Amino acid sequence: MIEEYFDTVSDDDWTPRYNIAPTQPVPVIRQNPKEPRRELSLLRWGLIPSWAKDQSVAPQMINARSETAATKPAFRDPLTNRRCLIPADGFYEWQRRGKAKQPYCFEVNEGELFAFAGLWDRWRDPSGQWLKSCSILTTTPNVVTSAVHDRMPVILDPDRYDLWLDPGMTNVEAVSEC
Amino acid sequence: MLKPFDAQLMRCYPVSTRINYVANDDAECSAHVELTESQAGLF
Repeated sequence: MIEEYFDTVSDDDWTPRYNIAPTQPVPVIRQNPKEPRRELSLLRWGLIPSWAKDQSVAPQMINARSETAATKPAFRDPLTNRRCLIPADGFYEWQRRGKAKQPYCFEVNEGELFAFAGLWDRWRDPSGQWLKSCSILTTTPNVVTSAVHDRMPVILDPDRYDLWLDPGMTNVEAVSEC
Repeated sequence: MLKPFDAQLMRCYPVSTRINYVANDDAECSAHVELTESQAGLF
């Protein structure tokens, strides 16, 4: 269903999930740089910059603030050259209530598929294997999400998917502000 | 493009704390739950 909705082909076998935690694999859609097709593959959630010494940074890189991503070493280059879509039909945020935290599920258009704005990078582990990973951009919350959390993921309008994925579009300001 | 999504097209509802455990991966994770009076008051 995701393949049809996002007009993509899948490189990996995967099954939709109800619960995905940081550092787990997530489906990611990227534009093939040489052919006019989108490709879906599994990347690890928590971006490991290509220059990182080890993987330990990943849990702190699950989100990238859209306001500052262009100036952060870990996200600057991915924002320019490695943007992706991260498809979903909902996401969870937790509201602190004293010592307890109550989770809430957020949906778009009553449960329709949508895509987060994502960034990705690849990192070579000590054995020489490439590990591809991703991060979800965040922004200020709207009135629905602000009741639960002070940030929300960037959800892209479908008519912006092509521009967001376009490998030839390296003008970050233009991409971000349109 | 990186602006907050239109709130009028979104909805949210409380779900079970089963979601806190990643081993729980089934439809119940995203099912609406009713909060008790002491838990309610979000909006």
